[in-house]
Amino acid sequence: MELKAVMRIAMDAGEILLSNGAETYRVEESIIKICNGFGYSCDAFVFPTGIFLTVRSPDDESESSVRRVKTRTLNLSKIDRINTFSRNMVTNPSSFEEATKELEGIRTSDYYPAWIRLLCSAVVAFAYAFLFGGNLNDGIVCLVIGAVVFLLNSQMVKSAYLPFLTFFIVGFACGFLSLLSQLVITDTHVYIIIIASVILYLPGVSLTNGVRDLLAGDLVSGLTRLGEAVLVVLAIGMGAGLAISISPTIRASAH
Amino acid sequence: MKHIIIAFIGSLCPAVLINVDRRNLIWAGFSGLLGRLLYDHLVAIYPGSALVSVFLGTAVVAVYSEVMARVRKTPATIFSIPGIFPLVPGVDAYHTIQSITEQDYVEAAVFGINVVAKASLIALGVLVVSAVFRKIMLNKKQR
Repeated sequence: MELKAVMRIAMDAGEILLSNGAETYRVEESIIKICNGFGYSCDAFVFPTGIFLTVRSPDDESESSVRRVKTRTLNLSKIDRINTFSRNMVTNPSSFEEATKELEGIRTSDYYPAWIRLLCSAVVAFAYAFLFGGNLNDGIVCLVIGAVVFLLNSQMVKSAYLPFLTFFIVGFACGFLSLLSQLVITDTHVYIIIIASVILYLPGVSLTNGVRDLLAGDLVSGLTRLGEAVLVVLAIGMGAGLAISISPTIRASAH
Repeated sequence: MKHIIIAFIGSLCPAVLINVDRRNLIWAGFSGLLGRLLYDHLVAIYPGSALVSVFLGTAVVAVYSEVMARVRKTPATIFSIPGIFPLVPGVDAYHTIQSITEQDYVEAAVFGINVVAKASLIALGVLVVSAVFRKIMLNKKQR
C-alpha cells in the first residue's frame, strides 16, 4: 500500500483510540503496529490533545502529519475493536478500501441505547447508596436523582461541551437535589445521597490512565491527565460545596 | 451477601455507561466484586487498615484485569476502570467539602489527606501491577 494511504489509516485508528479514552502508549503502539504491518517504519508522538506522526518507507521517502483531537469521551468498545483491528493489520494486512471501511464502521458504532444508559445511571446511584451504608429511602431518592442528573448531563454534553462547567453543574445538581429531597422524604442521609449520585462523574479514568501513562514513560501525557482529574474533582467539589453552603436551613434539618 | 451483589452491580452498570462490549460486561462486574470483597474483608478483620486495604483491593482488581485481558484478548482497562469504582473514597471526599463549607479547616485537612492518600493508593495499585505485568510480557517477547 502507498505511503499516504498507510498514514491515513494509522492516523484514523490513532484518532479513534485517543478520542475514546485510550492510554497514550496504546495509541502509539497501535499506530506503530499498523505502519510496521505494511512494511513502513514510523515515529508517533501522542498527546492527550493531538497526534504527530512521521511514516518512512524502506527507500527513505517520508511523510509527516499532525492531527488535532478535540473531543475526548469514553467508549471502551471502540478501543477494544481498534485493538483487534491493529493486531489483524500485523497478521494479514487488508487493502486500503477494506481498512477505511472497517475504521468507519468502528467510528460510527454507537453506545448502548439511551434508555439502558439512563437505567444504569439510576441503578448505579441506587447501588452506591447501599454500599455507603444508606437505607432503602436513600436508595430510592438516589434512583431518581441519578436519572435526573444523567439527563441533565447528556443534555449539556449534547448542546455545548464545556467540560469543567458541565462537571460543576453536575456537582451542584447532585448536591441541591439531595438537599431538596430532605424536604420531601425524611429519614434519609444527605451525604450518602450526594456521594452516591455524584460517583459516576468522578474522573477515575483520567486518574488510572494518567498513572499508566507516567508508568509507560509518557510524562507529559501522564501529568496532563492527572491535572485534568484534579480539575474535574475540584469542579464537582465546588458545585456540591456551593449547594451545601447555600442551603444551611435544609442542612440543619438534615442532621 | 448484599454487599457482594451491590459491588457487582456497582461496577457492571458503570461498565455499560462507558460502553464495554456486551460479552465482557459480566467479567467487568466480577472485577469490582473481587476488589470490594477483599477491601471489606480486610477492614472487618483489621479496623484502621483502610489505606492498606484500598491498596490491596485495587491490586486485586488490577491483577484480575491483566489476567482477563490476556484471556479475553482485550485491553486491561475494560476490567480495571469499572473495577475501581466501588473503592472510590466518596465519603471522605464529601466530608472534606462539608468541612470547608463549615470553615472547619482542620477537619477538612484530615479528610482531604485521606482522600488524596486513598486516590494515590488506587493509582499506585494499578501502577505496580501493570508495571510487573508489562515487564513479564517484555521478557517473554525477548526470549
